[in-house]
Amino acid sequence: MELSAGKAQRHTGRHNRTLTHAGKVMREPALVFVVGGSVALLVVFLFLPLGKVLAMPGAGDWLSYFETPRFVRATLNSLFMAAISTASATLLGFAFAYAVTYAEVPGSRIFRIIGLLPLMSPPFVTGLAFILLFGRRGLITWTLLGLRPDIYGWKGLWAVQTFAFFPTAYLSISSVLKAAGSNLEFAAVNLGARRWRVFRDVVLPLATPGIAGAALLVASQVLADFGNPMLIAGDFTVLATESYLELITNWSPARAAVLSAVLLVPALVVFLVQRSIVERRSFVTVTGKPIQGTRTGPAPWLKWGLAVFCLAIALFVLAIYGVILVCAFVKTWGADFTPTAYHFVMAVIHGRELGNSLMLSAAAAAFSALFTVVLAYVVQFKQVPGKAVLDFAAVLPSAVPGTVLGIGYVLTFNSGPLAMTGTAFIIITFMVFHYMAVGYRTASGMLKQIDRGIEEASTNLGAHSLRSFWSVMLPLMRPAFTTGLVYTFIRSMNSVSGPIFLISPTWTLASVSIINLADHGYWGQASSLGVAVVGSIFVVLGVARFVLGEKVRLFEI
Amino acid sequence: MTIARTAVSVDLKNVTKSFGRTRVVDSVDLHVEPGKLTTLLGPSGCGKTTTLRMIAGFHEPDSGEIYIGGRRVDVLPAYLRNTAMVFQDYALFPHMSIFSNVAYGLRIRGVKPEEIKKRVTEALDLVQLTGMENRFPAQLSGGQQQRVALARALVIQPDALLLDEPLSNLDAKLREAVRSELRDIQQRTGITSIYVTHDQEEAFSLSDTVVVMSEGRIQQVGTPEDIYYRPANRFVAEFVGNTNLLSAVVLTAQREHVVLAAAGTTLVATSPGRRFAPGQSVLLTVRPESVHIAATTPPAGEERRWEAGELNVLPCQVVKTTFLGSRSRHTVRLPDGALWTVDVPDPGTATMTGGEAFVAFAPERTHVIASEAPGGTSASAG
Ligand SMILES: Nc1ncnc2c1ncn2[C@@H]1O[C@H](COP(=O)(O)OP(=O)(O)OP(=O)(O)O)[C@@H](O)[C@H]1O
Ligand SMILES: [Mg+2]
Repeated sequence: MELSAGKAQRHTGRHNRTLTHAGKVMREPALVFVVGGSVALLVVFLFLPLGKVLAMPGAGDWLSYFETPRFVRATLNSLFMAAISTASATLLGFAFAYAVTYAEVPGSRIFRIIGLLPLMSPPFVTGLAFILLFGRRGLITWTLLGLRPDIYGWKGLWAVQTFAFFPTAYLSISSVLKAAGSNLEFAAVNLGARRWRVFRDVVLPLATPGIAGAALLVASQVLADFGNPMLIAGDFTVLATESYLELITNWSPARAAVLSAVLLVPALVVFLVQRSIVERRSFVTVTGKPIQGTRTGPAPWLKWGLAVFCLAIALFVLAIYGVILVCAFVKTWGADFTPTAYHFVMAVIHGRELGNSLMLSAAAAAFSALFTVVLAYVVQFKQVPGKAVLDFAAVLPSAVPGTVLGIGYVLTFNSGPLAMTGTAFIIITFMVFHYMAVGYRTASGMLKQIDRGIEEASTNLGAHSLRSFWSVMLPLMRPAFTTGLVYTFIRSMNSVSGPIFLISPTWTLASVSIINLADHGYWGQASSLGVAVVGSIFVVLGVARFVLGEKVRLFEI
Repeated sequence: MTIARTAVSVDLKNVTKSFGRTRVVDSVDLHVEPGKLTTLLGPSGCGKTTTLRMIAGFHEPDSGEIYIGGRRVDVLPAYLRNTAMVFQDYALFPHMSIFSNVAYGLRIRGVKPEEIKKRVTEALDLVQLTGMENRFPAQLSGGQQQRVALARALVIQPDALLLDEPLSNLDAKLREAVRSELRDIQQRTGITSIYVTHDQEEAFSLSDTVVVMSEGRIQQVGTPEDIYYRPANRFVAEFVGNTNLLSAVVLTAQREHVVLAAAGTTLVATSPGRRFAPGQSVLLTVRPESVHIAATTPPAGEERRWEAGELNVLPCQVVKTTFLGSRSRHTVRLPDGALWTVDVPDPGTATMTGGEAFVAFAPERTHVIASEAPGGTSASAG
């Protein structure tokens, strides 16, 4: 009797427990909704398009890749260009970072800001300026020197990519150099090491993984870049442009998918290697206390040499913007420099591209910022199954070249139940998912610093999870939200490679138009739109800083 | 005091919790009296925080039940339990003013703004933070933040106030001050409180009831005096303060007195409420300050009982003497080799400096426990 009573009791106990577990999920319907919704969105707008790219081509299409010399050449070109541009841009970025953050040459403050400008404007602005300076009608080559060199080809592209992407390397190396030195450096000096030895023995080894990470970041951007190859490369085709031609000119989706898939391989390799390096690098940030004391800088001759070098780079960067600005407001670049507002009125005032770009980018930025903050919160703070997968999915898009994702979108959303190419919605969606990684990473980095007790305190005081999120977590994550907002906005304004597949006559974008106008030799209008895009980005940055009342910690300015 | 309301009890019934394969809380049964302050005391990692968080609802017990005021709460989500927790690092909302921090729980309960204002002011009064309403947490000292956390918890009139080492981030002086303030506030408000600490002094000075835990199990529940003078087992005896142990065998056991054979002589010990059988191996425990040390003459103040033979007396060898100001501490070796600590209060200059001596202690200051492995298994109510 007693025995069976005990049994029964234990049984109901277990029964109760399963009830409470089931109950627990139902107690947080908001969480279920958010997780379910996020997973659904990621599946439809990230994994499905990528899956299409990989699954759509048949065996014949894959074979055609090897049988078409053009394709193989484009692949080799892509890799070659990524390799040499990464080397040169990283070297330039390193020298610049060394000069302005480590050696602190005269004028460093100005150089720092100028070095960051290109990050806020489209990479193809550099390409455009190169053409205007050194092209057939170039200011320097033609107007001043009377030369007609051919900059279209790998050499021209190399030069352009070096300049377009050295700021990426500079930014990421300078933050590494800042952290790597710290007090270890003074310890080394204390032990009797001198200038160059301190740098070589202490700073450089600590910074090496960071520098490698920076190089890989550059590599992935060069691999993925579409605008500059389109403008400058001439016959030197790369995968991004070749797959575009396959899809748009030859309307061969399968072969475009093959080329995209091929481009995805090095992009993913670079991403994974970079990720593992960044993960292993954590010790640098741990020891990275702020510098106290005066550093042993380099010898005076080197310092001044570096100052001259920085000045040259800075002038060149300024020249890029100057040239675009002038070109936007003269009659015919290279022939007739009479001032006119004609191009600007035509391209900016009459065209609706800029308005579209601003509107769609703003929408994408708002949604992306909210989405990434919520997703990071769920992944970091909630016990949900498959956290690691969600985490990976959130940063994966940064590794996928825009061309690849764009082609995936065409394959997925052009027809069938999900047909929506040409709509504003699909363009916004592309922007949201392609640029979500930075906002997400910032948000999860912040969340790692936020004491869990804060949220528990809120729950403990009676707030259910949605309320806690809204009134406690979201305000605390505001800087991450702002970062996501601004970053997505800038990248969306500058985005070409994906949107070029998704635009329609109603929904054209400024960035895509610039490439098209330049392609057809409408330099004045292309430059005008360029000026408008760059200008509106700066205005928005300024307003954001003013309205949100905080430093936008996007580039650690 | 509007903060007071009918106090309720908190009950844990056979609560067990494991993380992975380790059992962190093991079959815990606990009854917390309404309006009383009960402390969970135990070494680091013994499961105190886990127990507290199960009451708050941040962990779900694997089995067992939790009741607050007779209502089963382990099936409820944390935000419906009406417990208020004071976190170790306060967990104040950094983006809210002190006023908003304290008002938060009331706002969630939909209390009217005027009422909120009144109650927040009262709560801040109670913790002596009037006038700080518009500051932010970062602008307060550690002790002030701690009191904001307390006000934020008290203001919602919780059924149970849960405090997880709330004083551990304060320096020693402040800790003592806030401790007595805390005790005072708890008694005035009469909120049933559960306090977690690994500091026995804190536990003794604050608590109505102390619960000693080890490795997820309750070792003893009792008043601070119970715990200190009548430890239930060797673990409690050794964990709480300094103690002297002596292995002994029971000769005769009566209701109140036990006669023991130990260290080559017979001793009389008290053991209220416990039964021992003749021949049983036991441990005799006595606190250092309950032992007298004497060279030849009777210890001061105990002459009469010394003469009457009412004290237990053992010969010893003084090994070491340390002057500690308010007392001097002697380490002595007993005939069976056991090392004892003897504290002599108000020592003056007359300290013992080695050689032969006697230790003497009164039977009522002793306590007998069953001899077993340290951290033994039998949990018992003292
Ligand atoms: N979330 C968790 N996951 C896994 N193990 C945990 C978790 N929380 C606690 N533990 C483990 O459970 C045991 C008890 O932890 P608990 O925090 O309850 O100890 P405690 O008594 O509060 O100790 P302390 O005095 O150090 O705070 C520890 O061994 C701890 O490592
Ligand atoms: Mg604890």
